Amino acid sequence: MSPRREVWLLLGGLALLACRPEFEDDSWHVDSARVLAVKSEPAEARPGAHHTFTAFLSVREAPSAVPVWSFCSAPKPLTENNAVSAACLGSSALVPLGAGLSLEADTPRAGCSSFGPDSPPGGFRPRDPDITGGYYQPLRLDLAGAQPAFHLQRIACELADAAAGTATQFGLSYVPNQNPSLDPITATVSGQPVALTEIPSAARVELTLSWAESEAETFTYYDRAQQALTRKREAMRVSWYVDAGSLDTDSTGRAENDLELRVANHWIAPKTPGKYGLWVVLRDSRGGVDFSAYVLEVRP
Amino acid sequence: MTLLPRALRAILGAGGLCLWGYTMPARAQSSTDAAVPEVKVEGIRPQRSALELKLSAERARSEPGTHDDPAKVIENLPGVARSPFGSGQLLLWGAAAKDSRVYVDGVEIPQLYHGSGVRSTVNGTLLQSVTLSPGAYGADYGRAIGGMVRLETRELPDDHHASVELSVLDASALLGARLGERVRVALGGRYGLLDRSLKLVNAPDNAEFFAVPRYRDYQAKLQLALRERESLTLVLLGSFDEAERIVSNRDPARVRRASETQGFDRLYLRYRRTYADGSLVQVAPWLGRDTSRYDASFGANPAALAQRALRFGLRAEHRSRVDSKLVLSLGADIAGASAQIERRGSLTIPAREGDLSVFGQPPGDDSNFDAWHTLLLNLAPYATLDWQLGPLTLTPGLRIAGYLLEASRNTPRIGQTPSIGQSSLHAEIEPRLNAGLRVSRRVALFAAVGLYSQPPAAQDLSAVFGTPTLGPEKALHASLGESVALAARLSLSVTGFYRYLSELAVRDPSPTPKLAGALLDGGIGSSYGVQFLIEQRDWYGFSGSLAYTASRSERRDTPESNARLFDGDQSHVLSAQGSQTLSAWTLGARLRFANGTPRTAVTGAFFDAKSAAHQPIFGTVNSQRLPSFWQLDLRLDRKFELASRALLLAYLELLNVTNHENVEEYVYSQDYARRGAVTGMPFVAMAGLRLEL
Repeated sequence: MSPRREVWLLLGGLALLACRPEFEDDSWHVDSARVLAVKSEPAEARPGAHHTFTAFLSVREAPSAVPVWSFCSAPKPLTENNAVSAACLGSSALVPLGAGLSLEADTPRAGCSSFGPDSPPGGFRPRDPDITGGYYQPLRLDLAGAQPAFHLQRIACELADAAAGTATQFGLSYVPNQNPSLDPITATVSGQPVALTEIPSAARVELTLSWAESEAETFTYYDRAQQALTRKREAMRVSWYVDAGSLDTDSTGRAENDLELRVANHWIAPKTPGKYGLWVVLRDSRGGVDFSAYVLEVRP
Repeated sequence: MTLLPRALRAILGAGGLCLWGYTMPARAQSSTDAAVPEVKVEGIRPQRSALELKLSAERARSEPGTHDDPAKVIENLPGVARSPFGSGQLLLWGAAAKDSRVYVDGVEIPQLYHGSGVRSTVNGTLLQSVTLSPGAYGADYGRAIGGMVRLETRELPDDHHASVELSVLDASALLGARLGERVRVALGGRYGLLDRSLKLVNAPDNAEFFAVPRYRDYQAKLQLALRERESLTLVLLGSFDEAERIVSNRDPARVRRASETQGFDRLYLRYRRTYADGSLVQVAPWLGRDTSRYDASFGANPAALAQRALRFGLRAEHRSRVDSKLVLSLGADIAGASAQIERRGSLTIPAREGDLSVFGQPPGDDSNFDAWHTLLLNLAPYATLDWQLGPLTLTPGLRIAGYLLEASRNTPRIGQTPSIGQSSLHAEIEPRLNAGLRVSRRVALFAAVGLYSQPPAAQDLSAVFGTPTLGPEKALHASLGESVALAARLSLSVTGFYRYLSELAVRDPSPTPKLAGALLDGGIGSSYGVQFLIEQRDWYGFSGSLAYTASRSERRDTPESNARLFDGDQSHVLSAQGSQTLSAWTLGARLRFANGTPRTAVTGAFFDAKSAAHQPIFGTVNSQRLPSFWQLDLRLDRKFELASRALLLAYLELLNVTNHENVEEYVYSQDYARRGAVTGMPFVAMAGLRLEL
């Protein structure tokens, strides 16, 4: 951190302003194995459905350790602001599933009552969906030497807080999410294409990722303000990670109303020739994921 | 017209307040002053709590650090915690800002300061006095479980007058005129210039942490003299604030926008008649409008809260002497608010007191919507006796606060099903007692105790985001103190206080709350402490004060849960200020110290693979504090007599002259591995001019 101080002295002047710390933004940098994303097939299904979960780790070769997987059964209280309940950080609310880079498991059948709109009998408050109308079952991954990670598995639940006709229409028109698919990455240096195995040292490389138009799906959404069904388009985000050199940013994306199908980032290649790792994750706003790992070879 | 006889008015004009036949220092009304001769008066003293601190506006605005704004003097008084930078919150005796009230001539307004806290919402030139009651006040006021600040507008002068003020913060003007024999009017306005001033100096953009405020306010007063000792006053005033900030990012999911507007208007009529024996009748109906809108987005996640409220009320009082030692006051305090509210976004924003989060953390992904209407009506008749028993004065009072609380829906809206509203009646019996004992000419003791209540916030009565069936929140206030005249014009007062809060609206901590029950009314709180005030007045041109408060404020979110520190707790707050006048020059200084407010430690983090963001793991709630705050300010002003009736005041305030880096918030790196500090106002020079004609 390099705190920046702005000192102002000006007659009649002011700076009713605070001084802010500036953290070195290197969240794109990975220097050890950690979970970057989890892909589920299918991306969205009803609770109890069979899924294949695959962890995406920041390793270039076979990992020395594999994640340990557990479902969390604790819903988040209203007093907490995080994505999952603090109880999911302990062990009492975890349902162990096993270990491995990938895992096959059925999601808990009680997902829509624990994490969705199906409140138990007795007049309890249904949980609120996210802005895409989704509800999520937390899935915890513990990897030795890394922070705990949580995958939020989208579960398909009924529309509980709408008129019966609207809920029926929603059930008929809503198409469960599909994982997006990344096109191969392209690289250019000074506007000229360059192979990932032929990157000049210290070069500023523009990396571009794209996806097909169909990957940003449109879906039926229940607008609670209008009490009516409407259509939304998925927003897309790409997370970038490298183990050497530097990136402009760790995250780029397109909003739901942005029809562009590509994003770019810049990587400053190291001066030292060698092979370096690049990991990219494409996420859609309904929790769908695709990822790819690349080896960037820097030449003298 | 005024209640007080001319002789007494002369004393008040000299900076004192008459309390039951002896003169008290203007600031610490409860302390005695042996240097001023006793004055016997025939009128009836205004009923006030012994804990009130009242300052004349002219004197208040000359104190260092006030920027020539009388209401800013509140920061220098005991019992007042330092508000977070740029917030302008009123934190009195460990109560939340929302639990205290601000009145202008007895009419409630929603905010003392413009949104940033740099300026008050009422033009200082129109003010006569500023009164702070941090708690344990009398039966004539209510609807607050915290304290209150009262602003009194001044009697308009008999002739034409004008005041124009210009500073880097804003420009303002107040013009007054006499229209015939009986009518006097004044019109004033102020326009904030801070955003323009910042552009002029090319100030850095710190929108991530603070929004630059834009504000304006207006005032109009018409005073009609009726018969002798009878007057009618019409006042129209209002205020408007707006602020906007945008934090850009290449990832639309990380773009943050927030815009905020808030404003109010008030129109009130005050009829006042005093009689030869000092009896008083006053009636003040009022009408107003409050608006506020917060509209933000965190990526694609919206967060919006909009409120429009029609406010109305009536304050009426009759005060009469029963016998030579007994004064009876009977009154009614009526206030209502009919509000339309719309809210969208996560339950976690706006944050509530005690919420677990760190500064700058985006709200949760959950999203909902509600639009609802509320009617909150409070009818409170009250009676107070002023009873003098030799050196002992007793002021028992009784306030019966009746509440009608209505919300348009008691369950969330589903489709086009008609709403079923919620309506409830509550009656709170609120006895209050204020006692003063004059032990000697130099020493006086005082004590006060009472019950208080306030209606729930309209925004808490949502069937989606809150609970429509919430009832009033309640409090017990108690205080005991002593004031001593140490020397001529040098006084000391010491006050111990205790406040117990119950039935506070808090979030339901259970993972599965009831439908339309996101909030519970089971919160409990307490605050206790002691405050000191030493004041020197007009000693060879020197005036100054030292205010110190030691306190502790705690909350329990449920009766079963452990006590934790209140979010705004400050266990030590000190403000020392002094000014020396040398002919036309006045040099002043102010030193403020406050220990940091509590924060919840971040002990680790986890990775949320859905949002590709780290999230904090928290330690014990409010188990650490921000570093202590201290700041030294200097003020130099010069008065120029331009003509017989023209006065120019030029002032220069040097704020935080040591450029001390006060930590206002902790912020964290994206992975929560590193912690940094947002520091507050650096060294700032602020100049202004005030021309009075």
